[in-house]
Amino acid sequence: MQLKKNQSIRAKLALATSALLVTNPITTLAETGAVADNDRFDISRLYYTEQERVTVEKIQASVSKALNESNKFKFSYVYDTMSGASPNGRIYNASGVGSNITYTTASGNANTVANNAGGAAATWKTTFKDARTAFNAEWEHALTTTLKAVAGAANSSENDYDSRTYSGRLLWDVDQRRTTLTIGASTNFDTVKAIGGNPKGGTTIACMADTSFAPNWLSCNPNTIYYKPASKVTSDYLVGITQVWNRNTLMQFNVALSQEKGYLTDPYKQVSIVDSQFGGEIAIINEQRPDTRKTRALFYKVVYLPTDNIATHSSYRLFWDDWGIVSHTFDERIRFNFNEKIYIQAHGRLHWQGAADFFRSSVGADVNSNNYFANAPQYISADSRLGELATVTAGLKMGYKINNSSNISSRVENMIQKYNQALLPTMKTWIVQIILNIKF
Amino acid sequence: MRSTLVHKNDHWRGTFFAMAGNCEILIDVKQKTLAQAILNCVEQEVKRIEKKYSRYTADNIIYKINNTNGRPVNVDDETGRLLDYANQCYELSDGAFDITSGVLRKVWKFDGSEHIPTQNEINNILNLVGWQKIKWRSPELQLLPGMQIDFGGLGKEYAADRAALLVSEQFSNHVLINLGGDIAAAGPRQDGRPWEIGLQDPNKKNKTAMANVKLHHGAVATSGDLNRFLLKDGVRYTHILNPNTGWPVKNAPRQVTVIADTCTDAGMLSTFSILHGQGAEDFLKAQDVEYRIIY
Repeated sequence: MQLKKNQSIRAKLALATSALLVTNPITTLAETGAVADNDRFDISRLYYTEQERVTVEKIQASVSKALNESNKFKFSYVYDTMSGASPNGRIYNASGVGSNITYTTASGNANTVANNAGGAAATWKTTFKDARTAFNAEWEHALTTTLKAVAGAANSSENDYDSRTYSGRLLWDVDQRRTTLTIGASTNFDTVKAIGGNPKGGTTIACMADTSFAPNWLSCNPNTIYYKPASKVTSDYLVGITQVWNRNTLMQFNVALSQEKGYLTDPYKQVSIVDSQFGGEIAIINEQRPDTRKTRALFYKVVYLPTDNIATHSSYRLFWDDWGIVSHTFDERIRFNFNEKIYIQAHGRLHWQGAADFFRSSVGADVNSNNYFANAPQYISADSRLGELATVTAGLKMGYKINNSSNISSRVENMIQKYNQALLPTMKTWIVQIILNIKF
Repeated sequence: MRSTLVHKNDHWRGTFFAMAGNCEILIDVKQKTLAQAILNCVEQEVKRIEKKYSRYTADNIIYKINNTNGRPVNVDDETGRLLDYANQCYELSDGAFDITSGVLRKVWKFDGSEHIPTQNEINNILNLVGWQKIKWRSPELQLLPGMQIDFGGLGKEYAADRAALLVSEQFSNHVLINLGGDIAAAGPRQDGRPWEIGLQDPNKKNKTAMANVKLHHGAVATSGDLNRFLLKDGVRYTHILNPNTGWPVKNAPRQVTVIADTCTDAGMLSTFSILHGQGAEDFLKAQDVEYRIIY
């Protein structure tokens, strides 16, 4: 007999048995990109509110259905209403040129308002109100028992933005289904159609011909050019591996590459030109971003079950792009199953992002140059989302199993985002969501 | 044969006959209707598996596989998982656990008699043994003509686990399933107490328990059987055969009981240990499992 003596095979055997009994708790937690297992219907209502900023109400519904052993469909629908105001990048200066200017923005009825309640932390914001409708359809087809293909198409439309996505991926189970290899690609075709047209990046919205701070400034003419709807194409590629290490541990590693081309400028974001001697805002220009962007991301996640009643998901994501942005995200979720019916999940997330190379909170103008824009680089943005920022999120989710075919859960999260900009106040956000899942 | 359900002290006891043995289901719930539903669920699942994988039925997947005469056959998902599992057990045991070894029973009859086959008879049969001779690329299986497979080595354990899983998903986990000695607990007693399981000593004629095992959840399986052996010239041949030599494993324990998370694991570990012959106990020690061994 050639049996390996005195060597423990118990763990490997237990893993094999789990696959046999289809009970492996860890594999149900793998997110390989396969279409959901059961015939199920999910509906959720989400409420997102940023303090003194944006409010989003979202309704999501999805249905997954297996037609037969080898074909599954998933269809989902999202309806969002968004309203509120977000910082548009300008420096607030009560006596600046912007005081008298009204802007047309999303939905055509909005304007720029000053949040001067916070004194030094005052900012200009662009208000908006819009609604978005999105559909997503996916079809999963088992080519063999270990190879699955998923094809998807999605459409999203709102007043000033449309997006269409086509995607495909292959999921290949190897090593007795302990490992899943994923390869995928998708393409987004987006149309940016800001109300009133998309401004050409870098053009001047307003300027002072003569100011009390710097009477010597030459006159300047607003020269904003508005384009018709502009397009943007994004290609995404993903390679991933999900591997079950043992009954209690699963890991996932993904590499994602993305390439964007087209009108990547945000039509609502602006940059202040500031008198570098006297400090006031003397002109406003439209931001301008490069028309290409290459992003890279590495994602590593470990799911570990220390006991039958506790599940931990720990992940780290490293992101960088050729705009000079680097970000690190740590995410931790810990789920406690109190009994068969009730669970509580704690969620914590830390995110830090470095600024894009062309990020400037404002541009100083040299009085002696007789040119407002001499110091403005070709590419420039004061969009706080491209600046250095740190985000801390803490949340709690609670789930209840109503019966064998339905679950209800609810989550509450608080997110705090802090910017490395003296004039931009910390953003505080609350997210509340209620989710109902029904298996049929 | 019909199943029976009786109330015993503080729980229900259901019995039925399947897989060549008495099956006993202990159900710690109050209502009789629920207990009956649980018993029906277990009986249905066990009999489904028995029917699907029995070697003695002519219209099931095992019959189909064993009568392909060398042609490839496509198998369903569940059978595919069992074949994957058998493949892993073959690898984990370095070829000692082999679901193609059943044909050796054509020459070995473990009836307590003195009949030992000749080496020639064994060699002829050995040509038809060996998982490595099989082509298994899910969902397609291809055997050499004359080869056979059977899941007898894991069928009862698999059925016990499947039934325990189904019952806990659909009804209650305060259930213990005993399929002729292969036991799986869906969970503990209603009040959290463990189930008590008596282990028989095969050396003693009376059936008093030699030891008790307390089981909150998990499973117990026993391999070896005092009634299935051959005796010749004072040598006792166990019914567990080495698929490489075609001969019974030498100096094997008469019975090994293992307690593990699932009945399938417990059954495999006890079978593997017997395949180790006199090294059975060393093997079990290395596995870090609870066990009882009888020589």
